[in-house]
Amino acid sequence: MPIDISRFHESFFDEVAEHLATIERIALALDADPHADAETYDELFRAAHSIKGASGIFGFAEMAEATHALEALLDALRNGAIEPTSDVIAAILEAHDELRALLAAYRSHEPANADALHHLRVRLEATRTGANARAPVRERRLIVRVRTARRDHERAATLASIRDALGAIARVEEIADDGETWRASVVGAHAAERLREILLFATDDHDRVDVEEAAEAAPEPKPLDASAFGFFDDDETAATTAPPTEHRSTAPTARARGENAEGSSIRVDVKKVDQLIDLVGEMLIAQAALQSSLAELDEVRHQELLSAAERLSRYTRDVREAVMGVRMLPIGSIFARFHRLVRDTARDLGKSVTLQTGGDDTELDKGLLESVIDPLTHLVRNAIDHGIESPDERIAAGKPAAGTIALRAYERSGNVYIEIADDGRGIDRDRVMARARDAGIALSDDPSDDEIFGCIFLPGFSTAASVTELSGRGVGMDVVRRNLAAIGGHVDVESAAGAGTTIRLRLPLTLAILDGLSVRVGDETMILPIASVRESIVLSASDVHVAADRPFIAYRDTTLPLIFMSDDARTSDGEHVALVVEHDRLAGGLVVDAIEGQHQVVIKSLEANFRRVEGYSGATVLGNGRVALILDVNAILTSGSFGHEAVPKAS
Amino acid sequence: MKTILTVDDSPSVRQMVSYTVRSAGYDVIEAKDGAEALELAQGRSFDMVLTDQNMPRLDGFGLIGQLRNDPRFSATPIIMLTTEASDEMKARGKAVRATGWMVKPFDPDTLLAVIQRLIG
Repeated sequence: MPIDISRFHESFFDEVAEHLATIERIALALDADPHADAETYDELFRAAHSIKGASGIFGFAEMAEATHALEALLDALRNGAIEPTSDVIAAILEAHDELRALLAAYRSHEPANADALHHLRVRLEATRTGANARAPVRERRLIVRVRTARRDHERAATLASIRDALGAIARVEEIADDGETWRASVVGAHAAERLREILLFATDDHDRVDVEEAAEAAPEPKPLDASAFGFFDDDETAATTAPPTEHRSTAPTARARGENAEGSSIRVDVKKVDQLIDLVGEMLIAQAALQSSLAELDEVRHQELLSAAERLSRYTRDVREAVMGVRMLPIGSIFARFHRLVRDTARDLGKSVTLQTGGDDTELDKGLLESVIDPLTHLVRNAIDHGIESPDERIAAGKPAAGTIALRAYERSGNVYIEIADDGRGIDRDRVMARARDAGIALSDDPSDDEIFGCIFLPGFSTAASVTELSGRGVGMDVVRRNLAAIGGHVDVESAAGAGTTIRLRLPLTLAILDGLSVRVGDETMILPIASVRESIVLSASDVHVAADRPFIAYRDTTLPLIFMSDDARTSDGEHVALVVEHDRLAGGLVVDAIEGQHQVVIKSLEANFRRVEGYSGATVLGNGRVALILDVNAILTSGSFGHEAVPKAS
Repeated sequence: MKTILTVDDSPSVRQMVSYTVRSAGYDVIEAKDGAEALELAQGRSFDMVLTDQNMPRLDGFGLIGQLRNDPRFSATPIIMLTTEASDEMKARGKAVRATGWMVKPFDPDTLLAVIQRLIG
């Protein structure tokens, strides 16, 4: 009877990923403090051992072989045969990286990189035996492909900066350009992922960059030893065989461990959760429709019906909260990966940096979590590169030689905040001001810190004295801000010269539901995100001034450009309602016909259901079944011309 | 129906063993390490035990040693699934009175052949 075991592959892959995370976590902990207990060394060994055992059973021979070599090294480590020197830790981390790449290859049914695995085995073996602890640096050939929406000299400039970025870290060997796709073959020690990260700094949304490992010869499948079994009754083993070797580990203990939560959790496909969220969205819409029909009923005569509807409404809200909760993941899961990034980046730059994390349990929607990884990576790199001084400089400034970067997360009033704080040199106010003047950026006479530090988020702005491999290419912080804005987030900076910089990201709790203000514009209802509305003001026609064909009003001690959302609002002589909206440092008054109310709305993507429409970030279905567009305040404020034409019209 | 206890800290291996054994008409109880297996064994007996060696909390040798101390399990076939068939392993397996050993990786058919030979 043939038994198909491929059905367990997914489960096996997840398991390997968990063991790899364990290996990386412990290796990094040992790097910081090698005085770990036997239990820790055991756990490290067992992670590799488990991968080996399972990969053999499921027929993943390359992984079984590679983990066999890693297991031997970890066994020597727990037996005390070798010490956790930085070389040993580096070998373990390299094994982790290669195994992770191999896992990714398995998952996507791609061939394993036999060459890399061979080098890994050589290195692990050498590290264990101490023969030649340094395996030769393996060079890989990567193919970089760039397609860009830019034309002519802009395209050439982008390609040149990409070429420079690549040239700084690797040999660029062949370049081919058919005017559509630019293709380069690059040889160096860096992994594809690393190259992709570096190119983030030279590109933005206009450019599409693909980096992939050049195809290698398919590995020869190597059969594993035939399986064997035996029984002790009929077996030849003499009782005189060598006694078990002394292990660093103590006898197996029955110490209960909290970390194995396997029995109380299940794995669920994210698609199933998303389907639930969609259904809850529909339920909220139906609920709102029900609510508005019931509102017309006589309260006394239909008391029971109304109170049942009230309970239903409450449970609907609870169900929504609970379902959204399923998608929430602790941010610690992404903080953990920064230990590695900080270690590697600091070492590349000859700096000493300790990473602290706080608020690891703070939960964030899975989708949001994924979209903050890139901005966070960029900010942490920046902090190490520009914030933290070299050990000599730090000592001269009376600081400890090792710098500290703290990643902290916390939840406050419906938002999640993530802070990246360093104790480095701080942002040089005067230099930013000088740079801003050179770049023709208008600053007020006595600019506030907010105003000055805000400049670093403008496109093309950089004060970096040296262009390093990592950052300071003058693109970056604006990308961070744009990425955050795209998910409804916000970024601000605090910095004190000599004492350090804190960058604070503010994120919504979820991407799927928005606290909205519904407003009437002509015959349409539109939704404004409440987070971007500062206040509403009532205007009479005489309050509105016009300069250079642009309407504005006096607002507090400044002026506020007005955006008329409909012709009615523009032409009527009566009173208007203007909503003061702000995004980043821009503000404007949106003049609407009326404010209808406040709702939680379920965001439906326009791209997915219709097409992208400038000025709107999405749509929602109202209780009465009609569709309302959600205004994209950022797009409206930055469209440049606060005129009638620039405004999305209700149609 | 005969019941087999399978003990392994790897969920995918456990699932695979269970599936294989179940498809041959046996009933299966799973435990994720030796300690959990011992707890399960407090309340009931099994016709056969398949256990991994290297596990957190209590490993395969420890589990077999303790099971053999219990009269109910003194004659139960217990197979140790191990990644290496070294002399050391065999000596330790014999010392705790395991019935036999099987080297990982094994294929499902070999596993069934071993089970059928021991408990039919």
